[in-house]
Amino acid sequence: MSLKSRIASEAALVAATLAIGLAVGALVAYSFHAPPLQVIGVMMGSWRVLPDVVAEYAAMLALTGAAFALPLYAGLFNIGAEGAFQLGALTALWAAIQWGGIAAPLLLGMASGALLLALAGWLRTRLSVNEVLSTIMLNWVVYWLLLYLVATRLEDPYHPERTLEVPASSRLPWVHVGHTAIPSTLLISAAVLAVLWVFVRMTRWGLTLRFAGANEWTARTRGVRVEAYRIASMAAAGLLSGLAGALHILGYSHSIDVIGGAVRGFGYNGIGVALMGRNDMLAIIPAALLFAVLLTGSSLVEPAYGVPKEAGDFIVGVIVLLLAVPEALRLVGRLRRG
Amino acid sequence: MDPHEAFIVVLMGLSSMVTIALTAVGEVFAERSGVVNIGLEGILLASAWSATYADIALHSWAAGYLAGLAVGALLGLLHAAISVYARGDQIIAGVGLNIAAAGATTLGIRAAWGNYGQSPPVPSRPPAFTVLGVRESFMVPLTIALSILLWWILERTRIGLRVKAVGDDPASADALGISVERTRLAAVVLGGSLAGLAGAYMSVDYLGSFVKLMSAGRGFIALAAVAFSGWDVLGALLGSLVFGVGDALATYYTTVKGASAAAYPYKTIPYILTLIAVSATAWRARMPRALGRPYRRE
Repeated sequence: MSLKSRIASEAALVAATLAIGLAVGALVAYSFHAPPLQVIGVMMGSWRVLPDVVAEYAAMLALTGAAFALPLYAGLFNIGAEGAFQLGALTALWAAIQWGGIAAPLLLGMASGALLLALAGWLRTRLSVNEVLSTIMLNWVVYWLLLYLVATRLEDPYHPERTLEVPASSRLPWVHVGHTAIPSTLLISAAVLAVLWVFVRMTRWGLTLRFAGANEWTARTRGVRVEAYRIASMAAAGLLSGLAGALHILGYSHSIDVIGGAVRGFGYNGIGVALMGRNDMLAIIPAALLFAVLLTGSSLVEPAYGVPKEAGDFIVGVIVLLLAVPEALRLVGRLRRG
Repeated sequence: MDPHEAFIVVLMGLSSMVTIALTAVGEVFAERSGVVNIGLEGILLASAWSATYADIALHSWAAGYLAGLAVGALLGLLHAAISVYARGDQIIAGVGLNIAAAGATTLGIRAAWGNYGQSPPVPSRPPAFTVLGVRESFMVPLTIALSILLWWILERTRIGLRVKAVGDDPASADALGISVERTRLAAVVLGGSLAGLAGAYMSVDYLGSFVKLMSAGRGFIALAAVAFSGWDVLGALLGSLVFGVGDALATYYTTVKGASAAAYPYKTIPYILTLIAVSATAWRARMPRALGRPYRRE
């Protein structure tokens, strides 16, 4: 198949899964006695009402999507972006309150995420602990520690419902182009994805990474240190998720609420983004925009029509389930089994 | 903690064991046949919601259990359709099932009971006995008995041999006239049904209501118990008891500390315990050879 027709068939598949997902959303709206077409219209039109929120969410989801996609090239399923994102956010918040500035919170946020998922990579290669299991367990550990620290050490005495805020010196600016403000996090995120695309496609390390995932045994006989590549891919995924968490704190939420709502869901939704972007670092960007529109839109539907915002999560779940069907996942199959 | 309290924690552990054990024992069957079901967490949630709904609608805990069983079997069937017949990616199908079930059941709380967090208490709860003030459902002895029965089927009968054959060497099993697809379908539906029972236990029996995202990773802890056991039914039961006690320890300390944030670190106990137990044992386990791979006749 030529490249052009392959891209066309992938695009058709993605469009079809999206259409089915939205149809399910319309059914949900109907079951809540809301007008289905208007609900879907409001959901997909969120970029006009809240362009800044959509842009910021898309920036985060592109990074957590990349955090799922990168280890998959080496044959690993990383479900740990959720925990690494939250740990990165927590570390960046703590560092910003402690020292202010941007460099230290960003670097420490990235380092904490990288360490967390490097642990999962190490457990997989050294002790054969399945990475899906270990990353889920780590997600829960991080979640409870986050809630603990948010409510105790980092609590704002004047606003007990949230933590202290990031000082002014640590806040990331928004870039003004004409009348629209673009979050600098979106520019950083897009640049990181572009670098990753070049890395995976055009560098020797990227090629070796894909080789290790596509055919582990052959790669080993050719002297590739498969274990090292796998641990490194998990550490890099943790770094990307930790970066996202730190950017989210410094550039957008500035604090974390006591139920952790400000930092929840970005990691899990990144999985859907990576699948919809067909595991291609550049295609992940429009997929992240689409998910950001959908998830932001579902929070608009609640006040307007009384349809709970979890309808968005349900649609995402249906889309991921559909994307698991093999015709739609030829690519992942090739990557995993060679 | 004095010996008396320790004994109480073990008793509490027995009743939290049931959810994990039923799910894990069913998953041993599915994985021995070659199919991983990462979607167990979603099945637990969906069946727990359905069981609560049926119990409230019909004032019958038996109806609740039946509803849980049916929903579990159906979702097992869905997973099998995608991963066995459509040869889809098992991990991704499971992840999708989890995300969809988490969204759907939270929507379901709103749709059925009009609030954001939980159902009202169920009107009918199954018979239970009390040991030293700890409630133990009739499901505790039943789970142990069922596990022994399923161990016997898997290790001592022709049915078990078929399941293991399609999980270890599907091509040879196929050549011997065993239907790889149908055997895997049956094993995955059995696994889904047991997870469905586990979900019903969690809501109508153990807690007495449905709470948003109440499974809290237990589907994954059950997967850990399977890996911990080295794909053995009785080993999975034992692992579930260990993780159940971890669960009970978290509950115990939370109660001692009161419901304040100071208790949150204790909530990490079951997850850390699971991670350590699997790390200590996974390296020597003998995995079914065709695990996770769809079968295509050459």
